[in-house]
Amino acid sequence: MTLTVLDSGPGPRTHALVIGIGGYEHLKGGTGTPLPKLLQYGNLGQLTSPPRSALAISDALQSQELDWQVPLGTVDLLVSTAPEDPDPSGDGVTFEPATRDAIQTAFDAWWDRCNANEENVAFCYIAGHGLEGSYPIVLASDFGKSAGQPWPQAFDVNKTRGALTANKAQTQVFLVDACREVTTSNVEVPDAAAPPLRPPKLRQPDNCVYELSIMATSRTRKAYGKTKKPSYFARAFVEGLHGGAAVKEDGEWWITTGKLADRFYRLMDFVGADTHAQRPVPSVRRTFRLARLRSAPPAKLQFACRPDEATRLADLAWQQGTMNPEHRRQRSPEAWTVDVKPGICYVSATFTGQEKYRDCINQDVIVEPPLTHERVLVI
Amino acid sequence: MSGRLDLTFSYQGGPDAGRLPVVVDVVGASLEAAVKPRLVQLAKGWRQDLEPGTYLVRVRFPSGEEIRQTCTVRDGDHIPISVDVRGLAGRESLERSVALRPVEDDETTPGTKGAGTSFSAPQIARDVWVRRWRGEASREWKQIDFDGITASRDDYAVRYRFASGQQSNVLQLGGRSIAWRFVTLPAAPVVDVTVSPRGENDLSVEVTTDSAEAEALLGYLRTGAVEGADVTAESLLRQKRRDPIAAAIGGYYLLRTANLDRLSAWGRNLSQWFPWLPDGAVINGWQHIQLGRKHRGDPDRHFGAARRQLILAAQRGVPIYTEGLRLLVDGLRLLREDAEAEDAELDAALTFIEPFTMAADWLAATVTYSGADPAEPGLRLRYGIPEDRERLVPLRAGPAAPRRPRASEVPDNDSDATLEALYRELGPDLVRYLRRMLQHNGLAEDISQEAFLILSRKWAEVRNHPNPRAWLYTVARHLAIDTLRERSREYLRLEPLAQAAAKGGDPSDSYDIRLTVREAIGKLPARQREAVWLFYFERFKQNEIAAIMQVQRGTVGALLSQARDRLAELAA
Repeated sequence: MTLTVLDSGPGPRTHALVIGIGGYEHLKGGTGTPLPKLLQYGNLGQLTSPPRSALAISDALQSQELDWQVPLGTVDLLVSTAPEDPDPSGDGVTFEPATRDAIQTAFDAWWDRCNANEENVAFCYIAGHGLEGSYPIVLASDFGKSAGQPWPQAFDVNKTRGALTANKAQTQVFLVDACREVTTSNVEVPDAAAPPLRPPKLRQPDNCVYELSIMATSRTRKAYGKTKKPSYFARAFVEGLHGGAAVKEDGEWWITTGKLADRFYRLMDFVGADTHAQRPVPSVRRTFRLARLRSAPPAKLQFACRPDEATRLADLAWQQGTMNPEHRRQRSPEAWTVDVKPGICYVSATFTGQEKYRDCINQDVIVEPPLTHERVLVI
Repeated sequence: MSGRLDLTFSYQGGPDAGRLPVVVDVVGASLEAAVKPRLVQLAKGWRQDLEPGTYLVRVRFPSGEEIRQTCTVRDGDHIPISVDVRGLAGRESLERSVALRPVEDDETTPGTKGAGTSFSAPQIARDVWVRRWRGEASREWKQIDFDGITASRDDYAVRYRFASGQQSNVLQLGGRSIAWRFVTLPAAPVVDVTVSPRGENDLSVEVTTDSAEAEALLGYLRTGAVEGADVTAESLLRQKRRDPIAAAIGGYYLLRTANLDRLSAWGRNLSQWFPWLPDGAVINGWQHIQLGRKHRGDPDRHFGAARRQLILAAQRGVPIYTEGLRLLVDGLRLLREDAEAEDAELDAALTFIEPFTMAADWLAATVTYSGADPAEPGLRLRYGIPEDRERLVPLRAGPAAPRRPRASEVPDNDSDATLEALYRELGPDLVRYLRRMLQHNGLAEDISQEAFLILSRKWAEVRNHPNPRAWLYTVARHLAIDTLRERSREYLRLEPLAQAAAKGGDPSDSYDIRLTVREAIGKLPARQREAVWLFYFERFKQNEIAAIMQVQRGTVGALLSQARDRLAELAA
């Protein structure tokens, strides 16, 4: 457990619990005794992406560009590294393995911190191996420690989420970045005895006013990430915090829970995820301004001609504001992607000696972060 | 002064597609909201007065797709925006369900977005069967006929339209390589079931009601589109009395967002007014749990009411929607854990509902489960044909609208090869026809390709058309007219000077007495020119030309006659 205390002053705070489980002692490639009948559990092995994802999320939360509406108080980082990627941070930091006990301890301490003030923001990110029975389950790094009873080293994500509403923190962000495939073991035992980190109770209070929960993928599907890189889900969320989920209100740019949910599909697309194979499942209860951006977010404009074949014959140009220089490029059949400020862009396509298309087409385009596509009609 | 934004949609798929609700919002150049999100039906479009300026219009589909378009509104302007939703689905037969729901990708055949694999390829087409069951009193089920059920089918989907009324219905499907499953059908006046292949040995089954807004809400919920869901739920609230199924979907949404104020008496009414709907009692039960947890009134009274409602729901049967099944079992388990003493009624409810949760397909919108009998869900997957074959109907050979005889000139073999042959045979003539109509080489080629693209998409339908060539020309002509309209608007908006300059000179001034026939035809009014071209150069009959130009046959004769007279004058 690596607890970073950023602001211990009085008043409400945002408290983050960030868990990335990549090393699994008893799964394929692990250093411990292998779990028998591993095939029944999907033949699971080591993961290099979750630790990197957890580090990316942790870094993004602490970005200097973010002015948290409820100041960031603590970030508790729990990372279990895979043998093939022992130093995901690149600076030689060692992490305590994210065993079930360690996760429970960290969760309980985080619960108490969040519970201290009803205006607190409770932020939880969990990445690791996930399975789906009747409900989604995440495996701790010591899953399989007891060969006959592996499930106690896992936890039920759904029930944990259900219990969290009893916490006094009125704003709750709960992100689960894990696969949800059904394995033979789940078919045989759909209600796997994976205890939640805190059980929900009928008579628990419901203190949650603002909620953002996102499951990285839908039931029965995988969640993806490249080897030794943050997952697509983590990258999309980080991109959202960087401004991809920013909305301009009262002259300022805000990252809100509503926009994070609303734009999460597009953010996944933006970072290159195949959203048909991995479909995130966001859920929102009222929207909350998480953080203000200290400057306008970055945006990209990608533009080409319609029809496509005209692009290679066109001299494309763009300009933002009449006082700024016009940018041109060499002819190319590819669409042109440029970094711009959010707002109006003036684009043009000029044809010289091409009777098939009009001589020059000019067009205004309103560019939104993170990416706006535009195809200029040239016929 | 202000301008007017006039949003219209071009779409295919008939009235069903036209009723699809989408969420539209508008932001200004500063990217701050100019118009709050609102629900718009494709067929109706939307108009909005706006101050002059540049705006970004965003159109959000329940499937998660989003279309954005920048437009400039000037004083007194009337700016039409046409959004083409045809690209959302690969096949028209799947269009509505694809636009409503996020696309289920077929992992075995990448790139088949919305289209699914063809029934003609996989083995599953041959041996899949379906059977209807109706819920009777005391949770018993009875097989019923397919009588009166309309069905339509092409190579990519089979679609049934049921009228379930107020009775529980399930559709059972199975086959040699297809595990038996029971799909719950909502008790609604119109229920569409679209069955399409998913890979080589599985089926995708989509169930939709005729409440486009309720279905859209399900789509928005799946994709996390909060604004879309909010706006849609608001609309559903207004129609809860006449459409309880739609109201139930709205109720699930309000529960998920813990919007207890808006749910208010809705949950109780759903439970009381519609005793045939288990979902109403589920919603009301969870409403009480949430109220108890929020300490709105006496918590004990709320938890007691929740117990009664959830037990009542189980007594009524299995909820229609998967969300309801999950809430029902979760609620009953919470109540059971909380109970300090034996509770036979709670235990009975759990004993009834838990087997369904074990056998449920949690990805489906309506409750779908494996098993041997609708009343006996089970984990064990079964394949093949049931011993009791009564009322089994082959999926591909069941009741269907009669097919038209195939056109003799279109060979019924490999579709790709046929289309390629058609392209080679008809393509050059079609380009010539379009070139004559549009007076533009590049445009003619583009539109010809687009027409062939549409032909390929709709091939399953067009292959049975008595005259595919005429069909193709009709489509091409419509595309060409659209393009001419679009071009003229663009031209008027962007190049007024050029237009003024063009008006300054009359082309007839340079008329050369030595016209070729073709040049003379080029001098004819557009409709006469088109009729002449189709008759003399494309060799269409007058009735075919009438169909392509969408005029009476006599009008074609008149146009040809006028054209001949005019040509004679020109040649004189």
